[in-house]
Amino acid sequence: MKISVSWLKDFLPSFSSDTSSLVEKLTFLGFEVEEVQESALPDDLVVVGRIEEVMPHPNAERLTLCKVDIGREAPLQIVCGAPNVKAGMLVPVATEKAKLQLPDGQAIVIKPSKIRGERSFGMICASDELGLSDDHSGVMELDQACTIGVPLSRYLDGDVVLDIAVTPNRPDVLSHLGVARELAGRDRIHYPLRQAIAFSATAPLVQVLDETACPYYAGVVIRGITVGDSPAWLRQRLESIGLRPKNNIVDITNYILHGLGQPLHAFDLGKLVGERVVVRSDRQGDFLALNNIKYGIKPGMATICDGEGNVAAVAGIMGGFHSAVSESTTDILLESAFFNASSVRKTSKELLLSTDASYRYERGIDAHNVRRAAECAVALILELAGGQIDEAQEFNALPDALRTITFRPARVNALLGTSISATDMVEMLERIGFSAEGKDGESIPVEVPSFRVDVSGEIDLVEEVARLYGYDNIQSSTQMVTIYPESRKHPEFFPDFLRGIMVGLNFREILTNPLMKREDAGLFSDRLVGVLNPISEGLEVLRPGLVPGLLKVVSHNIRHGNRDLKLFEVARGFRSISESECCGASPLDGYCEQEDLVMAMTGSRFPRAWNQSQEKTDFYDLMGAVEMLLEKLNLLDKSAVNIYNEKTVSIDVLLTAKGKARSFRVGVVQQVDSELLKKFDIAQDVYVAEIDAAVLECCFNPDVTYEPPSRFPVVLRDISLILPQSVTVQSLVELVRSSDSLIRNVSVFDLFERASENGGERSVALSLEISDHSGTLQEERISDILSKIGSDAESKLGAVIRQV
Amino acid sequence: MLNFPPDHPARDMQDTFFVTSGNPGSDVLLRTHTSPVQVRVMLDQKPPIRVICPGKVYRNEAISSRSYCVFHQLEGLYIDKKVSFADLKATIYSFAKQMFGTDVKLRFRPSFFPFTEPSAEVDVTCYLCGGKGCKVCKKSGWLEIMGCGMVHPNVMRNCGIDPEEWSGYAFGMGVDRTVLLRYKIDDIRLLFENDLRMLRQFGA
Repeated sequence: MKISVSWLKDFLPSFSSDTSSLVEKLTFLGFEVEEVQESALPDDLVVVGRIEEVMPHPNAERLTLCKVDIGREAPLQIVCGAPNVKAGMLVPVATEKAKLQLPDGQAIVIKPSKIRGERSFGMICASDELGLSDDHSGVMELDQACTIGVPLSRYLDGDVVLDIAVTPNRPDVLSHLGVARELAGRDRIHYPLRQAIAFSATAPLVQVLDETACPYYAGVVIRGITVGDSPAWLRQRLESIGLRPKNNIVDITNYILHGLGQPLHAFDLGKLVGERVVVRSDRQGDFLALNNIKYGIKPGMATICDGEGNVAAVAGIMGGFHSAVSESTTDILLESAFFNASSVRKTSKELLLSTDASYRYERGIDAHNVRRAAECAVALILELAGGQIDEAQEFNALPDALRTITFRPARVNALLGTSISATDMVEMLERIGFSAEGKDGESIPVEVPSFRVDVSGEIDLVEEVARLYGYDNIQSSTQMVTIYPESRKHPEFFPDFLRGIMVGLNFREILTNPLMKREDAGLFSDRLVGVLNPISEGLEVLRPGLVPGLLKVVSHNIRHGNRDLKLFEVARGFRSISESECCGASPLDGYCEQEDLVMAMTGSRFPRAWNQSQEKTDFYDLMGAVEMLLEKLNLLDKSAVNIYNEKTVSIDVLLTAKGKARSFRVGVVQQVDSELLKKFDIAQDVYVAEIDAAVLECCFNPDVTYEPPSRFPVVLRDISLILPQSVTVQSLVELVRSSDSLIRNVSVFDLFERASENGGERSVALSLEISDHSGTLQEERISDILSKIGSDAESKLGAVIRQV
Repeated sequence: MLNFPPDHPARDMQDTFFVTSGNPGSDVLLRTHTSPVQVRVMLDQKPPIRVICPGKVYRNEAISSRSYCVFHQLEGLYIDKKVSFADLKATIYSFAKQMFGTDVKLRFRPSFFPFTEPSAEVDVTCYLCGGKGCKVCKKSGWLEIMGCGMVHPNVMRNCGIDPEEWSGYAFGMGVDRTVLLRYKIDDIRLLFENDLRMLRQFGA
């Protein structure tokens, strides 16, 4: 909201402050100043001059030669094109070297020149050429009291306009009066002149059918006015805060709105059938508003209608085009009303129409200001547009009684950590319009001024005291609380624990946008959660999982020259659940939200270096990383790998609880399909692991059950088997591992494949670690184990032992 | 729960994303701030309460160098006996010193949030101009880093906590914004681009 400092001074004539301390003061009162505009005064080389003589230009019909006295020995000759120059006029004269910023943005420096053959030693300025207004109708005529030769800037008040952010709880500050009240301190507020109005309660001028939407309405009929331009002071006030002057009547209503905070509306009385208004919420149909846009009025929207039910205004939002005050208007009906905040807000939202008036009504206006604003406006109308009050009517009376709130000074100090005296608190509150009965005691009743619609409880007064005392004056407490957690779970936050492990494995963490393109997401799931009001086309669904975002990052980095990547992300994916699967009634039961850890590897296995061969990273590198993660979580021993095909495996963790074994699917490791990679513009192999972080967390048991290392020797044996091509090596390893409890570890140390007539075969060499924690192993026991492996492998997998 | 009147303009302060509903007839939206977490903690736990809740939040605002549709918030909530605004200030100072250095200057400005009262916004000296005023800080010399305040008694009552017995403070900050300030990064979008040339600098 724009506030002009010179306008503020209308309310606080003795107010004076430099701009920066004013900005600071407002800031610490809770009103952030977002912008400061200081109007630039004209250059000091622009001085007051008196036109001595006006002669026609010999070579140009529209130009004149002026002799201008600027207090020097001889008058200057200046060529001028303005129609209004005449001898005796006092005018601003830009003398040699004066710098001007013309309205078109061009900066010029005045120098002597010849115009159509005649010499000119300066420029007689219009007010727009000095940046004082946008008036270019002629040169600016100065008051005869000005002294010739004195810089014009001495006679001008530079205004400062502040753009203030007012929080939604403070509608009372949405006007110059409101800001003045905050700044007043002990100074008295000066209100504009008021015209006493004798309101009747019975005349047929105003009728209110919807009292909820409109608890109070004052209408004043003024006849015989002359609509025309507003005087310069009024136009300047409005222009200073960025409003365009229209005509005196409309300007006065805007002046009161921004001055006192009360929205007003003036109807052309002649356009209201029956010359009366009815506030009703039962109208339907198109309504052409002042802004020349049609709005569909529906029952439930409060409107101001004429005697025949024609909508003349949407209550508290905007007047109608047809009943607007125009140059031909002679009689008006001035409205000053109290409309219900939520009723205005509802209609404004439905019509998608927000105005300065609705903005204030929605937040809450000052009931005690409604009539006063009408009286101020009427005084101005009679002064500037003439006319006479014909009749005036009020619907309802506004409540006079003020709310009283009791506050406890001790409570205020306890909440703020201060020791402010009760007297000081009361003094502070009284400065901003509250009035207290008594200045001490355990609890003090305080009367809340009518404009403070936000103050409803003791806590609001706590805030007022804190604000006026100054947040910066509240001293930080010196003792900090030491916190001893009741139990320290390890890890405290599992996703961060995973991040630590992944960073330790030399992966880089990425952070991707959960909103993504429908087309990309659709490649991964058909149960997408769409955004109903996306900002842009590329961000219209929530990601079903993390892989699409991961591939986009891979693609981005390859494009920017980084081809060797090890990346991970821990975050959530979102999918919708079909209605039949959905079991809960809560709106959120329709979704599945899953926290995943994803990893990607691509490019070279090692950085390029003299002592390392250039190898591509492969599936086993990523499997290795996943296994190291499982190892860190003490889960590697309990994990099993299921091979889908050469490019995809899944990993399960087998847990035994209360004698029951359960298998949990932890995740999938795969080489990304090259067709899919093409869609992401990736032309190199990418390996991706997707781990369900929640499953991993529930499998993870940080408690270690210690087992003493065996004191007996470990026996190492190698065996070699031939497997049919159709059987996976993994199944062989698992069979061997589970064939006897003394087998502690199994690893593949050689693998050889060859084609044959019956589909090919693999020769697999395994290394076994066998040990018995209860005693030294005997050779017979070892051969029993090996022969059991041989027979099991043969009967279950069709393998043949080559050599033991 | 957070003391927003049902049709109060304060609700306009956040621009929300709505998503396609799983259950027809119900509005589901992406959260615009992490404060609901605080409410859930207050409903589930008895005071004293001390929590930190970080999380992603979503705002339907045009994407630019200064704002992104997704970012991270971190909120803290402390409820105990005799907690005061002075304690809040001490906590924020302690954080700011660790984050921005021991000679950091802060200012607390009165502000408004429906769920706290008194409420404050906290500014830190502008990193670019050192407080002289520049384009980034809109010539004020200050940059906002967080909002905070004393938990509103209505919020406590809504959660079954007696505000006469307990008091507390809450604070919330944009993690991303703080990162931008801390490292003088001029475009928030870089945080979501995951360019290795950027990640490498942070050992991430």
